[in-house]
Amino acid sequence: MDIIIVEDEENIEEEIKKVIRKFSIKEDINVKIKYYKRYNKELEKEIKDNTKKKIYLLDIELKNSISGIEIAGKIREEEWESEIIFITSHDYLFEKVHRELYEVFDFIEKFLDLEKRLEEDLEIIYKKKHDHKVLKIKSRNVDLEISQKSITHIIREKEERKTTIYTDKNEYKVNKNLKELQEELDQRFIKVHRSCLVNKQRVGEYNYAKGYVILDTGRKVEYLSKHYRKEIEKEVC
Amino acid sequence: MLEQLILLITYIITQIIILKIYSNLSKKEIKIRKLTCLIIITSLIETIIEKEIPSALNGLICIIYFIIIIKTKLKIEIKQMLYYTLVIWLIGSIIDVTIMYSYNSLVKIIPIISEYRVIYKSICSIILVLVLVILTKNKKVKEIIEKGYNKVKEEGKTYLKIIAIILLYYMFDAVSVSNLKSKETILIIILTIIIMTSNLIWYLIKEYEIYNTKKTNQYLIENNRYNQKRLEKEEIKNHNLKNKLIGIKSISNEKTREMINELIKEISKTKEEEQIKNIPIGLDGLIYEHIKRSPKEVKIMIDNKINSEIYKVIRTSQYNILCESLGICIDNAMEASKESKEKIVYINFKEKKKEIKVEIINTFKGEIDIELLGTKNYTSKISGHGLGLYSLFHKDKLKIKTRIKNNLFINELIIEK
Repeated sequence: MDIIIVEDEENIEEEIKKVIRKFSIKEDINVKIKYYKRYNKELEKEIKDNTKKKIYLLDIELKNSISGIEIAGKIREEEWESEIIFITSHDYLFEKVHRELYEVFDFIEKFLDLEKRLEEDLEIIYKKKHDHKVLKIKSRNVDLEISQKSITHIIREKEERKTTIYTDKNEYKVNKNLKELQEELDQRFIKVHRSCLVNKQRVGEYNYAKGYVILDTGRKVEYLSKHYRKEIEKEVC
Repeated sequence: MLEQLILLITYIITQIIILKIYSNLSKKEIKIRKLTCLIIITSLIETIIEKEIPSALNGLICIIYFIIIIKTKLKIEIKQMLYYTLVIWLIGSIIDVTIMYSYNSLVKIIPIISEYRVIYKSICSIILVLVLVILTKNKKVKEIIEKGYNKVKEEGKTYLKIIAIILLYYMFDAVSVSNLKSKETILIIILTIIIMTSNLIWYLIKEYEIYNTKKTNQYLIENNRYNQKRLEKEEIKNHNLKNKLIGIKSISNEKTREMINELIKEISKTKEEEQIKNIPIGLDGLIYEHIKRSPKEVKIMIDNKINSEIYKVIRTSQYNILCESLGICIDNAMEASKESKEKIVYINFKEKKKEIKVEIINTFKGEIDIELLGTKNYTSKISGHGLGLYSLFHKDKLKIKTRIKNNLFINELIIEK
């Protein structure tokens, strides 16, 4: 596992390295630490190397360099698989916006239990497979990017000849049909009706008798066909 | 007499053009009308001495004249200015010697066409400029030049640019009084005058456009200043009132003290008003007005990486466009975020080498048709007209990138410097 630290304060750097060494001994894994004080050509090269998944620990305010936020932007221009953890002292509004924008794993306060939080985060990242898959759709005026894990279901509206993508918070109408969308999505999306795909990880209950599924959000989606039962059960099991 | 007159006109036009170029490069106003007498007198002197003194010295006199004009407008130390002038003059001399050497070599190879030396001098100059242009395309050469250029202070850079332009002009200077008998030379002079006149007309048209835009922008600048003053007055008023209330609190009973604490809370700076410090000067009034009108529940966050006044960073015409577009985007963002759970609007100002970027990010909730977004009459608001985003996408000289990332709606305005 590669961990890239971008931090200009030496005492914070030492603290982080201590946590990482402790973690690598505990989990008995080989961790390679690369350290940078600011954004430079070597770091740029490291970011552009997509061959390995990495964990980036970024300080937001860096002297004589572009900020951690801009570095996160450069990382995400290349790939979305690596994890980013910000070491910061900004408020929750800042966190809220940038967490979504750059798919940041965590924001850790520098001078408040940095060790404990970092240790917890490294454990979670190491043990859990992280899901950064994104569905991208371009239209004439706007680019749409939705993380696949947030999509609950997709319905083809016959009358409008549009497809609606439902997420936890919003709905997006696009011109693509179900077949085209399914090609871009991964295997978690299964067809449950001629006009409907669901994210199987978000389904709580399949009611074939009454023809609906209930999502983990509590929403009822009345698009479940018995014709697809065998395939659904195969996928779900 | 006719030749002298042509020469005089050429000098007058050249000086006006160079002053205009300087004005555009440095974004400083130069009122040519005020300098008319000076321009005519200097051109007369140059025309008279052109006959007696070699052209290199004539060029030096011209540069000294420009130094006087420029020094009055630029905040640059004399030592620095003389140093830069010397450096440029030395480089210019090397280039001049190179041109003369290559021109003389050419004449030796083809001696029969020595009558057309003026044309060959120009050809040599053109070839040398092309070589310089090709050289500067090379990455390493660019790096060296940029390193040296970045060491120069801001005011010095403008000065260097203007001197370099004067130098380039003299590289193409094919005017020599002793050759004025030849028809070809007169033709070159006439062509030069035509080119210079058309340049001057073009600059005058641009100047008029800028003047017109400035006039229409005046209300924006005035409005911005008015809101700045309003904000300052309010801050002073609240500060004084708070102090008075604290004073009264010390001699009040418990019930009154509680009441006073509530009052102090109300008049204390809201987080949004604190964010105003982060807005670039020139846009603070506009954004303050929008923040004041925003729904109370919406949380606003502003980040700014532009260190100077916005008027100094972008052109006047671009300022007008930025104000209009920013107003539309902020209004849309406030309305949309009001409906979401998080209710956040984030405005981020970034400055790059050739452009400035303004990101307006807001949380939102609801249904969006991404094919219809930005088209005429499409709106997600109940009382909307559907013209805001549409007008932005069809605005001249404005680049806008719109994207939706999970639950964030992001508008990025890109304005060229």
